[in-house]
Order: sequence, then structure tokens, then C-alpha cells
Amino acid sequence: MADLIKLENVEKRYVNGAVSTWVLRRISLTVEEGEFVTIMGPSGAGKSTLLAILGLLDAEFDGSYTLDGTAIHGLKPKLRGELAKRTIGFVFQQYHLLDDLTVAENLELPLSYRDMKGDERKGLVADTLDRFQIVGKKDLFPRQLSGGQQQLVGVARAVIAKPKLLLADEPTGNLHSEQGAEIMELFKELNRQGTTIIQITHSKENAAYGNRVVRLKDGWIAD
Amino acid sequence: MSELRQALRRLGRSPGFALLAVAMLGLGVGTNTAVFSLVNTLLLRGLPVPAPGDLLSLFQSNPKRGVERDVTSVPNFRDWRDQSTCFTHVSAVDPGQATLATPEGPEVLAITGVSASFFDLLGVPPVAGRGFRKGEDEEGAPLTAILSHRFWQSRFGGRPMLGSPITLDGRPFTVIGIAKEGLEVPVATDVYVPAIYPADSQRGALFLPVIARLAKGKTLADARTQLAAIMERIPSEKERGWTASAVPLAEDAVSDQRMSLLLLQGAVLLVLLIVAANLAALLLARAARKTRDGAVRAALGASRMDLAAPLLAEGVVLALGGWLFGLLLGRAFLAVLLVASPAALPAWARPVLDGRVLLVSLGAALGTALLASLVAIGQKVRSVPIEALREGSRATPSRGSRRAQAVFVVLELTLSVALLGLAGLTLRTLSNLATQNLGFESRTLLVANLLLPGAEFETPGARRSAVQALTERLSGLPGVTSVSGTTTLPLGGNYNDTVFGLEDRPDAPATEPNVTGVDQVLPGYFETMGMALREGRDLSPRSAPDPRASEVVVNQAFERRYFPGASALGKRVFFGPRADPRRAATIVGVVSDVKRESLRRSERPQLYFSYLDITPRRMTFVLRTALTPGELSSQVRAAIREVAPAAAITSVTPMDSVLGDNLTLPRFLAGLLTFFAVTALVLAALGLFGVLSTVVAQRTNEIGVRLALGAKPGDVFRLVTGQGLGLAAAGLALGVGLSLGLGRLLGGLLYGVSATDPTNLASVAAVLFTVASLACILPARRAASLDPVAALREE
Repeated sequence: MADLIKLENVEKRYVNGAVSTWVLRRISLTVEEGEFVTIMGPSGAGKSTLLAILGLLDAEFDGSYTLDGTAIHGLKPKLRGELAKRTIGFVFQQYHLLDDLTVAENLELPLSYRDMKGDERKGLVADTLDRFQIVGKKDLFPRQLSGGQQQLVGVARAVIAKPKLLLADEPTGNLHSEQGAEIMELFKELNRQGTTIIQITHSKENAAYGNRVVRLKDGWIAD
Repeated sequence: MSELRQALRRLGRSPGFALLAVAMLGLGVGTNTAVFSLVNTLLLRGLPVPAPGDLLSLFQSNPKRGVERDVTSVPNFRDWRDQSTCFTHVSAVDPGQATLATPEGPEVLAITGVSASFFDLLGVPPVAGRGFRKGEDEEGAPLTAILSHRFWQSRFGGRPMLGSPITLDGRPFTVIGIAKEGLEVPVATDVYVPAIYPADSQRGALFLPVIARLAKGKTLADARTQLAAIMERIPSEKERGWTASAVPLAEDAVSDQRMSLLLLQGAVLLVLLIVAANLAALLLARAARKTRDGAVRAALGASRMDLAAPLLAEGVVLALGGWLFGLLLGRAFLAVLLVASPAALPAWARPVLDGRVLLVSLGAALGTALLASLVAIGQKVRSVPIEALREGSRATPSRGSRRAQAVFVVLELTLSVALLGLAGLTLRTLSNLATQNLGFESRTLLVANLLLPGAEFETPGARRSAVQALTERLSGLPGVTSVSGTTTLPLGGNYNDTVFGLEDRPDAPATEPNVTGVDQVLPGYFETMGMALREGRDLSPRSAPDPRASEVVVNQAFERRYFPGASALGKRVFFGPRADPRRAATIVGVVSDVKRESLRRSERPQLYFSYLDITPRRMTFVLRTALTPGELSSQVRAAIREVAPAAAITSVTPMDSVLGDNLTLPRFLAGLLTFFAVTALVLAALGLFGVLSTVVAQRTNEIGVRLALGAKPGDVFRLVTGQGLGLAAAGLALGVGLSLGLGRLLGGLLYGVSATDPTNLASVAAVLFTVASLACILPARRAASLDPVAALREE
């Protein structure tokens, strides 16, 4: 399989006056297309920072990062944004659905940022609602849904634009175990269909759904 | 559309924010709409006639004598009319008063004598009947009249009047037309009559206003050149130094209001800017609370434009709401303005919310809201979204956002200070105008304006007798301590000038005739008015037995100018040919100066003759009373009707209300500027309150630490108020600078106060710090009363 992600000696630090605080140190990591990788580690290990760099939300780092054959370091923000739109989907622990939008509108949101015509968007939203079996909820607002349902919508929103890479930050952290298992099954299915997944979790059960675990400690890869 | 729909939904979820934003925008847009509708009507739309820009006001001037502008004489008017090729029409516009005979007695009307071409010149034919025909403004023509629409409705109830006779000043006129509603150009009038003047009218008698319409292809410059050339060809005028020129009539018609209106428009634009700053601060605070939304959108692939779109959409929705509310407020403001100060505008000016006003107000609303939105957008798309996506992250404004909010508050305070400064200057001007020494005592003075029309008062003897009988009767009214009269009441809107010479200065008058104000007064006038007799004596209580024994009293300005360092008593003043002793008079007294033409204008040289020697048909009785002047009005009217039933009473009013009429425009300006300044200050205070509240919310934890470490509530209170007053001090410093700069623009609108007046600036500072302190109190008290344990729990 081809490499989807290649990190070499990636480092991240925060500078406050004369003091530098290192968050990530010499991270080298390769993820092939179709992998389901789990990042684990204690709080403050740098997991979320790594995920933000992988998701192109944070471009302030040292070292090199190649995503889907494109070198990120030095890439102009606009091109970086285009690459992110083409390649990446996000699932958050807090779901991060927009409160003022309905389920259907939340699903449509990423498509609206991708130069897609209105009819095409509507068709894709309808397909996704159907695929995730949430047609009946399409006009509801996030606060009218349970946590599990909200995360289901969050996952649907993350994959609606068919990203190659799905990044999930503690996707089941706010769910009870049964709902969490459902989401992980969904991830497994998406991975089986070809989506590369990188998840952050504290849960060994969830890690078991993936095929590789990367451990971080104090900003270093522990293994 | 979906962005707008979603924006509407989001704002619906925050009704407090939305209502506050719409209310602020509405206030800014409403004040701008009201003032702009005045600017539009008076300065942009112009006179309500076709091609108003082609109408000119013609005048003559004499730079040598410092006369920038004067009306003209009948012969000059005829020369301009007959010799010019730049105009399609030239018309006299001679406003005055006349009495209409009615079954209830004579009624005083405003009449305007106009040339036969007047309605063709305006391009607005009468709506019923016809305009004047050629020849109807010549001596011997049948007397015709055209009623103004307003007068036709109010006096005759709109009933058919064409062909009906009316009696004006005892002469029969036939009504031949009804003018278009709202015409009132260039002056408001009840009745138009043909302006008929004798063939031998004198060139030196300057009393006639003239208007003209430019011919196609001709310019103002052409007209000026030609008028000057015509005057050059009149040997006597050239010799006396007179020339002629023209200005656009529209400009002329609003010369009093122009500066005030532009100033007010500037003031409301500052208010709008304050609204924009306040709205920007509100939107920044809201954007800070919605940081997570932006971060999520960015994570889902939103570009900068995509991130800006929701904020822009919210801006548009708020702008539309603010616009609609602003239109309602604007209509209300306008209605209040017109009711409160109807005399501040010319009669033809009827402000309406037309297409241009609607567009400008929409532009103002959109511009303000979008400007504020752009500021919030600038902050939002700059901020890094990562933190907002983390578990437990709090939606707090970034340091940049907080700094921006503080900058906006300082900006608001700066603009408020500038407006307060301007308002203070106009209030001081109003106060100075109203309380200055007028040279006479206006309180406890009642004035009664009369006309003595018709055959009954045809002869000077009849008028003299009537005036003497009226004086006697009015003196007998209870509460009246003295009665006298004048033909031109100070500040009453009428004044006459005369050309004169001095017997002991034979060189002066030949080429440089002196011009002075002239008035005819009854015996005891100076005493009744409360004017001081500085030298000599009052005019004789009897008419001069011999014309060569005519007497005149002069004012101190006359003496200062023509007899510097010497007494004017005993000197002879003559009028017309020097050799004619019948037109000379001896100065018998010198009285104090009074404000005669305007509250602002320094007193000019003035001559007072005895009414008993020269008896015009107009007379204003002045009554000094021990009662409140208004209480006497009905008794005065009754007494006049009893003694001279054929006399027409124009008005009976306290002198103070005559003064009030002179204060209309300064009061209008000061009132509006004060209102706008207070509005601005309230908005700025709200802004300060908002920023301090945000600061307290953000520093809760820090305040908890301070309290835990032993700070007293008073220390925390001072911490917060210190921050607020620091912003106020910055606003004051910048605002004073701005106020000084803007104050210079006021120039001629000020009276007795300068833009750098320290008292004014001190007052502004006191007001600002009082209001700023009030705005600080609530957030400071909230901070001081925080429970340290609870505050420390805040993360």
C-alpha cells in the first residue's frame, strides 16, 4: 500500500518569552492508505497536537510532513486548505455540531465549502442520511438528539465528502459503552471500505478496533 | 439565501443581542434619515419647480462701500429685464403686507408683488385659472390677484373663487388663479398681485428683490458678466460704484440653514460611527463566544470567505432590521423636528422620505453593520481555531479582540466628547444670544403691529390722529405704565435704510452717500423701550411746525462713526438735494445702541425721526406693563378695534416672543446637537459598560486570587473603575483635540464663545467623567462583591 502520511522529525513547541515548551519531539511516523491507527498516551503527551498537525489545522511545526504525496511544510495556506478539504474528515469528542443548524444542514456544511452545486449537495446529504439511518432526524437540531445520535451525525458529517483520511479525537469519550461500540463498529466498517483512520483514545477496547497503536509520552513516540 | 436564513435563525436564538444591535442601528440610521431628509429637501432636491438650478437671484453690490449684496431699484430691474439676453424671464418679487376686507374687519395678509412673467419663470402655472398676462403689471391695468393654495384653502375653504372680487388695502382685485399647492417660492405668501411701479421710480431706492431664469445654453457666469455690463452702461450707477451679479436662487433660499444642516449631518454621521464602533464591540464579544463554531467550520474545510459569510449574513440581517427600525424612528424624529421648529425651514421645504433618502438610509444601515461585521471577521479569521476544539476550552475573547473592544470604546468616547463639545458651544451661543444686552428691556414689553389701510387713513393727518388716539386709549389700559410706537421694531424683521448727508461735511455725500438705518418713532419711545438717552433730549411731542425745524435723534454708533470724539448734538442731517432745507433735520439727542436687525449683528448707525413728521401706514405700538405682557393681549386688541376699527391688527405679542423668533435657528441647532451628543454619550457609556463587564467576566479567576490574597472589595472596585476611567481619559484627550478642530468649522454659527473656550471643555470633561463613572459602577460592584471561593473555582 502507498504511504498516505509520512512524518519525519516533526517537532512542536510553544515559546513564551525566553521559555520554550516542547509538545512534540522528533516524531517520525508513516501511515499507509487503509490503515486504522490508534494514538494513545497520557494527558499532555501531545496526542491532540499531533492530530491537529495531521489534520492540517496547525502548520506551525518543524520537520517534514507529507500527506497523500504533497509536502505540507512551506505549503501556502490556501493550498493547504484545499488539500485538507480533499483529503481529511474530522470527528470530535464533543461532536462539535453547530447548534443553530439542523442535522441536514450540519451534514451539508462541509459540502458547501467544496464548490459543489446545490442539487448535488442535497442528493449527497439525502444519501448519507439514508446510509446512517438518520433520515427521520434530518430536521432536528443537535440539542434534540442524544449524545450517541449527535456523534453519529458527527461521523456522517466527517465522511460525507468522502475523505481518504478520517481523524477522530476521542470519538467515544462522551458516550456510554454501548453507543461507543456502535461508533467503533461504524469506524471499522468505514475502514473496511477503504478510509484510512487515525483515532486518539484512552480506551484499549477502542484501540482494538484498529490495526496499529502509536504511543506518545511527553511528546515523544514511546515505542 | 440559506446563509441569510441561518443568520436569521442564529440571531433569533440571541434575541437580546439582536434587539440591542437593531435598536442601536435604528437610532443611528433614524437620526441620519431625519437629518438627511432635511439636507435632501433643502440642499439636494432644491426648489419645487422644474429645472430649479436655472433660477437665479439677481442683486447689486457696491464693493467700495462694503455692500456685498443688496436688492435693487425699479429702474435697474427694468434695465436688467429689458437688456439681458441670458434670461428667459426676469421678475420682481416684492413681499409685503396688505389688508383684506372681510365682514369681520380688515385681515392682514402676506402679499407678494410679482411681474406678469412670474409663473412662467417658475414653470409652475396656477392649478386653477391662469397666471398674470403681459401688461397686467403695468400702471392702469385692471387689478388681478392669484391666491396661494394654502390661503385659498384656509381662508375660503377651497370654494370656487375664480372671477371673484377681493378687496386688498381698500382696492378691488379680481381673483384670476390659484397657485399650485406648496409652491411658496421664493417666499411664502397668501396672495400674489402684479408688481406695479410708477414710471418715474428712483434709481437710488433699493427695495426690490429680483429673480430670473437662465435661458438654455447660458450659464451663471454669462449672467454675471452681462448684469455687470448692463450696470456699467448706467452712468449714475457706475459713478456711485454699484455693480450687479447673481447667485443660484436655491442657494440663496437656504443660505441661513446651509451651514447648520451640514453641521447636523456631520454630527449624525459621528453618531453613526459610534453605533458602528459599538456594534463592532458587540459583534466581537459575540464572535468570541462563537469561537468554537468558527473552529469547527475551519476544521470542516471552510476558507476565510466561508468563515466570513455567516458574520456578513448576520450583518446584512441586522442592517435590514436596523434600517426598517431606523425609518420608523427617522419619520418620528422628522415629525418632532417639524413640530418643534416649523419656522426653521423655508415654507416650500417639505421633507419627505423619498427614494433617495430611503437609499441613503439603507446604505447607512448596510455600511454601518458591514463595517462592524468586517471588524469581527478580521478577528475571527485571524484567530487559530485549534484551542476552541479542545475539551473544556472556554469561549473567551483573545487579547487582540479585547484590545480591539477597548479601542472601539475609546473611539466612541472620543466622538462623544467632540459632539458634546460642539453641543456645548451651540448651547453657549444660544445662551449668549438670548441673554445679551439688547440695548432695551424686552421683559414686560408688549408689541402690537398694525396697518392703517384704505381711504380712512389716506392722509398723514388721518394717520397721525389715529395713532395719537390709539396711544391715549392704550395708555389708559390697566397695568400699562407707558405706551409709544415705532415703524420698525428692533428684531421685528423690518428695517429701513436711508441715504443721507451731513451739513458740516460737504465733501462726503457727493460721491459716497452714507447709508444709515432709519426709523419713525412716537414720543416717549426711548423711555418705553428702556433705551438710555445719552445726550440731549427726546423728540418733540408735537409735529414740527416748520419743516426746517425737523428733529432727529441718532444712536451712539452714528455719533461714533460720523462724529468721532465729538458730540453730534446740533448737527444737521439732510436727505436728497442738499439745497432743499425741507429735507434736513437737526440732531437733538443721542440714544444707546440697540440690536435692530439681528441678534448677532453689531448695531449700525441709526436715525430716529418723529412719526408725527413722517407717517407711514405701518405702526408698531410698544406697551410697558406691570403685568405679564401676554395677559394684556386681548384688551389691547379690543382697545384698537374700539378706537380704530378700520385698522388691521397684524399681531399682538410679548416682545420676548419676538426675540424667540430670532432664536429659532440657533435653538434648532443647539437642541438637535445636544440631542445627538447625549445619544452619542449614552451609546459610548453602553460600550464602556459592555467592555468592563466582559473584562470582569474574564478576570473572575484573577479577582478571586486577589481577594484570596487579601485585597479588599474597595481595591477591586478601584481596579475596575480605574480601567474604565482610563479609557474615558483617553477618549477625553482625543475628543478634545477633535472638538477643537471641528469647533473651528462652526465659525459664523458661534456667538460670544470661541471653539477653545476652557469653560466649555471643562464642562464636557465633567459630563464625560460623570457618565463614565456611572457606566463603571455596575461592573465594578459586581467584581467587588465576588465570592473568592466561587471565583477561584472558575477556570
